Amino acid sequence: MTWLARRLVTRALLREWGRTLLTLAAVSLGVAVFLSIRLANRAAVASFEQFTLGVGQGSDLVIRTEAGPLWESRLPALRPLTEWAWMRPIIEGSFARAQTMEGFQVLGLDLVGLGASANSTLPSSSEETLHRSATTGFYATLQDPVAILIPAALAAEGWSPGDLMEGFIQERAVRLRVAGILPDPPHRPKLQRNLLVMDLPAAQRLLGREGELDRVEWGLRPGGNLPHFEAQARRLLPPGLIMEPPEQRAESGRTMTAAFRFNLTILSLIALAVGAYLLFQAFDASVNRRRETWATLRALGQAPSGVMRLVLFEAALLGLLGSALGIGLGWLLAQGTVQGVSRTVNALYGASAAQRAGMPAPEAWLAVAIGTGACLIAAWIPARRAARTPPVQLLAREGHLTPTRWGWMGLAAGTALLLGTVLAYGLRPAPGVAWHAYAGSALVLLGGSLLAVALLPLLGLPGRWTRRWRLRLALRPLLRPTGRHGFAAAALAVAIGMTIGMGVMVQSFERTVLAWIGSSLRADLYVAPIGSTGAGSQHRMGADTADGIASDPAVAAADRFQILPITFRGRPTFLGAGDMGVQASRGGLILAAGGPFPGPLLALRKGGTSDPGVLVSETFSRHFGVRVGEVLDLPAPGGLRRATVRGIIADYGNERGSLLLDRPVFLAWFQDPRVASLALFLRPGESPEAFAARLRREHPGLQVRTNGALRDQVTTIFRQTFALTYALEAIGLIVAILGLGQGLTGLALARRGEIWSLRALGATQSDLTRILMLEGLGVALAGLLSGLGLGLLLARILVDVLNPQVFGWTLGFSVPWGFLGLVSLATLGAAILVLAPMARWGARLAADREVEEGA
Amino acid sequence: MAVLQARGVGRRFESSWVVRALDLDLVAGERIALLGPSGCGKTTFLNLLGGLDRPDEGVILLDGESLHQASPARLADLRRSRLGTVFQFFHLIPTLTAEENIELPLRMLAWPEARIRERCAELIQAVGLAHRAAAWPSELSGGEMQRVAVARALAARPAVLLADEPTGNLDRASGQAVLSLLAELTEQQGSALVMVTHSEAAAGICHRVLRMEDGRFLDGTL
Repeated sequence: MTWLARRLVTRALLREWGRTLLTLAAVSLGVAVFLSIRLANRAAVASFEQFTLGVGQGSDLVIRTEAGPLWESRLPALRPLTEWAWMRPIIEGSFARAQTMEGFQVLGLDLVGLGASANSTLPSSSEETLHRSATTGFYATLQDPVAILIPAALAAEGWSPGDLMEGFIQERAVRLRVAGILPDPPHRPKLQRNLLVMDLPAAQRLLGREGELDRVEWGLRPGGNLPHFEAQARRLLPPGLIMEPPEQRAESGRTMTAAFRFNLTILSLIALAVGAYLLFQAFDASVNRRRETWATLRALGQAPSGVMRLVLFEAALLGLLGSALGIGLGWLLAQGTVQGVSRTVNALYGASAAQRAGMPAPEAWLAVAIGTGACLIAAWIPARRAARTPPVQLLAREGHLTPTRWGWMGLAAGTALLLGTVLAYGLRPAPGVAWHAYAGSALVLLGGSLLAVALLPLLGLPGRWTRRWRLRLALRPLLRPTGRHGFAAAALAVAIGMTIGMGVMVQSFERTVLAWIGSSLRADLYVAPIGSTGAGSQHRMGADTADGIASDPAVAAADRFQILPITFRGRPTFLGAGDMGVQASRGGLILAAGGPFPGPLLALRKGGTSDPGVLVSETFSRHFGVRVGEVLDLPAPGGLRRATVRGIIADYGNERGSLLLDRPVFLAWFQDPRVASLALFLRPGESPEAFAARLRREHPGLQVRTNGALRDQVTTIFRQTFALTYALEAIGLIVAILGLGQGLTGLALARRGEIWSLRALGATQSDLTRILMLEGLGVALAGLLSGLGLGLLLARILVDVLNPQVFGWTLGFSVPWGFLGLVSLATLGAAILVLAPMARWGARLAADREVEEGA
Repeated sequence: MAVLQARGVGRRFESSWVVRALDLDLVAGERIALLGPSGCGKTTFLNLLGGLDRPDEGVILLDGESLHQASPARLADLRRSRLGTVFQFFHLIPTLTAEENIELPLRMLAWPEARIRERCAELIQAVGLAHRAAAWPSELSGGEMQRVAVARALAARPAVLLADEPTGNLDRASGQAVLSLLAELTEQQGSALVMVTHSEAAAGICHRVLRMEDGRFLDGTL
């Protein structure tokens, strides 16, 4: 067997190097796309987790409030816990560097206390640094209200102690001084680059949050017992405080980026799915080309299983080599992709700084398993055919062109499409659960690919009646399509279907979001502290600044908006507050339930603090199963507060959902007058641009955007989010078009006797090329038509079922005809480009058997 | 006057000559059999005569026109109008019916529809397959397929019909029927025939027999 394998497989692969390279390219491209997305996702999420964890590695428990700040005054109640564990109070904030506007996480830690803690969770090497520095007056330096410690990664860029870093915290201009460098911990992930550590009191002062904390981390002393400690903590925990494992914060970060990562992972699977079709074609063509070899082996007494093993050995060899190449290529691609993913995660969630993707061994093994597995699966049917078909049939020239039973295909296509649609739309599982939508989509994909095969005879119909001999010869094969026709059309249909499905969903999403923005963003100007990004941003504007701007004579009305992360029923969400009076008279919130605008908003204002009301976003309503009229117990610093749901609003700002209170109620409950952003409605005749320019001069720490600029920014972020989507779709489509070319090559090879015969009858090279081209275009058209229908159905499932079910977003379905036309033209154009050389090559095929093994 | 002439024709693959120094004169209506063992170069010579391959030396003239100097387009034109070919493995177009296979060369020549219908009916009648006109090649027997191939090759009334082992893949009775058909139809149309065969019996329908060995005609067979 080894002797045979060396001669029949490895030697053939070397001699047929063109085919070998093509197959290797298909495997490596599929593996590379899949791997690069995984690596980039991994890097971005790791960076996100690092960001959320900060330097808080090694703690065993985190205590924080469900909503609002954790006041230092509540800590004495927890003092008895220090018998079993050390504690580390932490405050977090954001710093935006001047000029570059680069965002940094500011972490306020009790650095003086850290030196005394027996098992501080700062990396041990950092502690050593601190202790060493203590002798040189480091502690004294840290009492400097603007001193910061920077990570080694930032120091590597040229920052050193004594350097000044200018920028903004909240809306105030500050100048921070580098006091020391935090070395990377030896056996833990490196500290993220965008981290600035300050002494706790200094950070509290700079952030304008004296006496406040965000959380307290606890670490067991040596020999400590975690369950016992948790029990003690639970006993002492004052009302309104919650305890959770430190991983919980990272987990909620993972949840936060889930939609984006899910989108990318699904897309990378397209490349794999279409690549699998391509591989099947490659192995099918390989077996077909060498059928005489397999037949001869069988005739010489080789068992069918032996033939099968040889074909599968070839597949495994190509799979391993292709995967190895794919791993290298995937790592390279990931370096480019990670920047895009990081940029998007940063734009959406304000928290990622990954610049490079690593290559963990499990990912490499997964890539090898997927690449080799895909090759073995793709080669299985051709291998079985080579093993089971009687030698005499393998040797027959035309015997292998078995027409597809397209009638059954049509029936199967219809059944799969119907079942898929019924499954996706018919079931209503719990929010967040969407297996029915995935299974339905998979069935619809299967149905769409079968439909492409069933469409071939319909497209071939003109070939039955036409008297034009070239058209007749080109279209007649489609009347009785073979497996090769079918596979090429099906692969194209899947690629186009996924492209159209995702494209229509994204465009529907974009239009819905733009309509939402158009309705809800009605102010002339939006003002926020510099560095503010998404809902997760920690920059806040002081109440005085907001009041000062709001009372400007040019301003007719101002809506002061505040938002905080809270924990509701054990899950993270956001609580926002705005001025319902201003919103009701000037805003345009879109209401999904609770009555027409502005009724529910006025009800909130009327209820005030005596009968508090709340608006919830659709996402919130779906995730928590909350309806209008329901009374919610909301966490607040003074304990749980009751509020009645007065309406459900559309909100596409985040995936966790949000609650919206009237500002007076929020102030009464939270006593936090700070503002995350300010929406300004100017008096008639005031120029937004001129007023914005004046505000920028007077408040350099604020970013002031006109309505148009803000909309542009939102649109840019939205498109940036989906930029990778389009790139991946393009790869899927290219792979499918290459598959079409490969399919045509196989068809031409299988029909070289016919081609030879036509040449003998007087057909010119050009006649033959046109015939093969037309036939290929017929296949492309079947794939395109089926793909368009499949894509629209998939898009409907994504829009109507998957998005509301998983993310809680209701999207309006809109068909972007221009996009459909563009994809159609691009597909046909690309098909012509690929088919033309293949057809020219096919037209020159000689009929003699020598070409069979070497072509 | 010879309708097809070969002078000093040779063809080699890599360094070895498959046929060499072959001369042939074929007059209108004449039937010649090329007889010889496998690998002696019969099919290679037939392909050269049909313009499906180009000689490495020598010339081939069809009605005085040099095939090896003709452009690919002109060669294709000559194959449509002046040459007909019958293969051992029939090579019918599997997606065309028997009738459509026969009319294919006429459509390639852009004959008027009425003439195509008339000629096709005549030929399908002549080969005895009127009742199988709408059948697909896969539904025909070997003998029937070869009869369709003969009708297709003769459809455009070629000056020369080239047949490569036309009975090589048929049983004896079917083979005999095809040979009779070849003789009868070429006789009726005045077409010359060059037939490659292993079979002495098949060669019996020809006026002359040329025996080949190692790429050359044996002495005295011309």
